[in-house]
Amino acid sequence: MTTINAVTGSQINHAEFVKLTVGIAETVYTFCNAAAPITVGGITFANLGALLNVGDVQRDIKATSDDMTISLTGIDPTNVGIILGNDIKGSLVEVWRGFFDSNNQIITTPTTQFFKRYQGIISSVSITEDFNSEMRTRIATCSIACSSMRRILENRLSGVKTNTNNWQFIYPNDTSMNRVTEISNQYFDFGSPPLTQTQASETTVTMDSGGDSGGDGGGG
Amino acid sequence: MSFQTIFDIHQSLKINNRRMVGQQVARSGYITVAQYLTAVPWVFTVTPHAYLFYPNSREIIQAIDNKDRQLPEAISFASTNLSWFTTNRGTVTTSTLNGAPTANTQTLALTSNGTFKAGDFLQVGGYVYKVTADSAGSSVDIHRPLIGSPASGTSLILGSACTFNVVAEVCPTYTLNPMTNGAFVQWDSPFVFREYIT
Repeated sequence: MTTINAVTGSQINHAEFVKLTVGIAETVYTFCNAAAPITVGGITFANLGALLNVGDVQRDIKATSDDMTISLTGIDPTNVGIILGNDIKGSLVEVWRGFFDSNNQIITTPTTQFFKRYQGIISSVSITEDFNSEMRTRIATCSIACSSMRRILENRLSGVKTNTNNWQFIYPNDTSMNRVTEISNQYFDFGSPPLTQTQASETTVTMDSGGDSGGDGGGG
Repeated sequence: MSFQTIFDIHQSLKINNRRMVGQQVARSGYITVAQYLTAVPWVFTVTPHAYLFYPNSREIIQAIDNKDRQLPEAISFASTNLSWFTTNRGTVTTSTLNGAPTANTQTLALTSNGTFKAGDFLQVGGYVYKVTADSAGSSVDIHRPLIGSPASGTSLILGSACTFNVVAEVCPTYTLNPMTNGAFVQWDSPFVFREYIT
């Protein structure tokens, strides 16, 4: 169990830290809300300027599938460049909360008071613009929607489709799925004589080896 | 002289240098306080003089139009009318950083030739801080985390020599009320200046 000693008192001093690991090149962008850069565990989190908001992080005793949004200023073209990067979707997002002593240094005793709040991957991004011609203001916000790893696993499709193309992609010489296309959507009244005569388009060689009698292959 | 003029002839000046703090009171009456670490920017809300005579003020207004809400300006409180705001009460006249300060620190090690009093102003690395407690001059506590990473030996700017680099968060429009051979300038709202931290 993680013990957060920093919250045992009535005075708490904290900040949030965000790390984006973007793309195949794994380019790292870091942000925090402090007045000067802070280095924790070898990672230097840049200060000022970019981070607007970190959305709510749902905390439950049991593991939950929670999504979260991080907002960056869109006025800075650097952030727009990050958002529009080719590999932004699927990039890793990590959020920590760090606790400080009275001189704004990360507490290190008895343990470093720096705790991961969230880890997920970027599922979608958006740039919103609030253009107010009457007030003559323009506000742009880059939003990064993140899905937790649990959500990713929930939505993950795995396995192989039982049709000829997919099957032979993995097993090139296996013809057992060759007739799936023909028998798919067919009604089989098992145990009854066939209503119509059917003829296979390919001849299936059946090896009679003793007791078992071979039948037409295929399945779906 | 543009925003500086607005400061020099203001009718009222509201200062906000509060930290970002959350408070919650439990049903038992206990209060929990949490500070969210930020740069704590200075914010000045200035109610401008309501009776600028337009024919004599066009240069000022044009300078304000030039800056608008886009460009920053360094505001000084050194003039006779405003020096009461930043004049130091301590005896220090020169001071330098003694060693490179740690990031976000609120305590500066200094080499000084005098003392600081609580409420005195000092400027380091372009940003202005207030001294939170009387000091003999070798170490001072400041009211907010140190911004940036100034180097050891950096000279401090003290007292009335400090300047606040601000950008207009609200730059009001104005209405001209005609009078003989001209008009009075009526600003439609107070100016709001926010420290320009980059």
